[in-house]
Amino acid sequence: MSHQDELYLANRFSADVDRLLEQQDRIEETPAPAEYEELLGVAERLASLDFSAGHPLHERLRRELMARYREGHERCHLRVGNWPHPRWRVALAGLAVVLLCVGLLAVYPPARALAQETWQTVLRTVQLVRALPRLTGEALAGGLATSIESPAEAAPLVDFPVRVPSYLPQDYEFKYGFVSHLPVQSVSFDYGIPYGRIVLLSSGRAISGETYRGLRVFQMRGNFPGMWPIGEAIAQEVTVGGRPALWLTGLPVVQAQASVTIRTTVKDNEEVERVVLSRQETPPEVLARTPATALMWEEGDSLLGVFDLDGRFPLEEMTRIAEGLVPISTPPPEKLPTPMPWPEITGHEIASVEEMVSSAEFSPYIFNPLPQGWRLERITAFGPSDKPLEQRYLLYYRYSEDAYIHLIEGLSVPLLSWPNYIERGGGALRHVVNGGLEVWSSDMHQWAWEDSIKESARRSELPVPDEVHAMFVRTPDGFSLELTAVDVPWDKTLTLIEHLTLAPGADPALNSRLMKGCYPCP
Amino acid sequence: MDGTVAVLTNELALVARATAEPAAFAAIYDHYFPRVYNYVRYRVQGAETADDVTAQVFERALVSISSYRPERAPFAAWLFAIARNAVNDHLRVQRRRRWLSLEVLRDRASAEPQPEGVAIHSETRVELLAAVASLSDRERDLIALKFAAGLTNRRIAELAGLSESNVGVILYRAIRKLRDYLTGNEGT
Repeated sequence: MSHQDELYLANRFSADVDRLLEQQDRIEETPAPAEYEELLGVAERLASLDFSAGHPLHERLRRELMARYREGHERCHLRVGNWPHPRWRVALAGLAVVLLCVGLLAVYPPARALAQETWQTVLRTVQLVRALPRLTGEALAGGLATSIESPAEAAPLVDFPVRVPSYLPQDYEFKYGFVSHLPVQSVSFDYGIPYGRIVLLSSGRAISGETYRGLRVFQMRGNFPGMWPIGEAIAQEVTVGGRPALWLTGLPVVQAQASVTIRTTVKDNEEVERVVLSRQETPPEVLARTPATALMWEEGDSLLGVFDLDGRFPLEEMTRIAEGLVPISTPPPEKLPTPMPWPEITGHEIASVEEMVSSAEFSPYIFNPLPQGWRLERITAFGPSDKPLEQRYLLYYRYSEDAYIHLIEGLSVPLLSWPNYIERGGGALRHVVNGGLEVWSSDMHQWAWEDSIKESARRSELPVPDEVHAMFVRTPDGFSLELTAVDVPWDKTLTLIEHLTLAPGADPALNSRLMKGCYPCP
Repeated sequence: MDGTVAVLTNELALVARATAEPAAFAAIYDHYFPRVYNYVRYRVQGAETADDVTAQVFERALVSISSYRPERAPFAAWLFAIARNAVNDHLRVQRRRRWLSLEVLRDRASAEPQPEGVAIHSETRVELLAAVASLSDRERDLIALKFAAGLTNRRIAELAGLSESNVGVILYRAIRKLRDYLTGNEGT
């Protein structure tokens, strides 16, 4: 079929599919090839596919979304368990108390005019006020916030140019950020030191003398005439990059434990306070109030601020941070790895290593000889025989030694579930033999190289919970292997890996040729 | 056509009110849930994962709906851009956990809710899912945007960074692959 023919059929097919999806009749055209009707039949089957019908998630998620909607703002939370890198967890564990939803960063719609002092001449876009007027709780809703894990994530979420510090005090690094959309778009980035000290106050009484060290960079699209409560803070007119700015000292800041909800309340004496509540709306165990400093100024229609949450930096240092803010650079488009071929699902069992070697289009590795306690139980083959990059063999090894029976005790459902395979008293190792480098994404291989243990095999361990770990091996001929072990101690797996070798009868040069792009290989 | 095959009545007005009226957001959610869920289900492995990712999509939509600008794109295109990002985020993580893939796909496909009397449909669903899973990620994405999200080729092209005619050809070829896969399966 010529390209023009294919283009014509593709366009016609798309039009027919659109009518199909709109449940309209097809328009008769010139006769199409016989397969065209078959393809439309497949499209019809796809169009009728509905996984959502009667799905309980629909109602459940609806309730959750509505509850969150009514809450008026998202929980201010840090999903420690979901953070991608273990160092975050270590840092958080060290901190115990994390930032913070800070009352001073709330912007409220004004209900009536209030004393403005002279600050309005410095900042056009907001009014700094000692206290807010009496407002309803609804009016004080802090707005919905989207947590972000890197400054780059904020840029596409807002309409103004997002800036990041080009200079930070020594050891300060990005910790957390969020984007708020109501009542006006704003972005907050929090920076801290890896192991900060903590202030723990309970009912206003210090229970620990330590202070968390944190900086917040705040940016807001400044076309909203909001009010900003600063309590008894002292305001001083200064400059940032030649622009008028305000230097505020003695700002009241609330630091709170993670996973709590922040609510704004108005007390009878018209003082506004951001009250920190747990999910059950009981006060958290940890609450810290510290005097902070802030440098605020305007550029274009944006309001910018740098907050020192425990007030430890002098004006000169804060000015240096503020003047170092630069527009965030847009990262280059991510280079996508070569799409991973999806193998068939079920595979078929083969009888022996010899059969695997004879049927494989590459040279497979096995563990030979098997150390004591191990045995090869099953080999399953996947993928078409004429496509080495899609061929896979799963070799199931079992480790059974009485000494490891206890490892199974208390095990709930294994992360990898093989019916009738994992039994009490036995461990399992799934050895996946892949046909080539392209099966995995490139970063995986980068890890394998970086975490090289010895020359004969380059490995990386990726720990996962529930007594499961995975290992990725790069062999000297550039071949890639994936090992996943269930209920087998890591040291036992390491012992096994020492026996990794080419299967008997396999061509020792074939994999190297494959890695050099020879496909198919003679 | 404004970029979607099925348009919610008074959609723009509902979206405009969604930041202040829970009922408006709920109406949008009810309308789009099937299409978002189906889109996600096409692209990720396992019903439970699809549940999680779908929830993320609507959570993200909830918190950022005020930033939606109707003059830039139809709401469906905006929503499925969020869905696409959520799925891609998930897949990025999953690329590092690929050893789960086979088992999840096999075990979870049969573990989905199966009301009585829909056994044949379930079989079809599993078969079609397996066929879709045999496609490349880009092909799966386009198939999902077309048949689950119901977007026009023009909107798909904008989302995927392709030309409209390129989208049509890729879809046509992907359907042909699916036909071959399904025919091969039926023959065995």
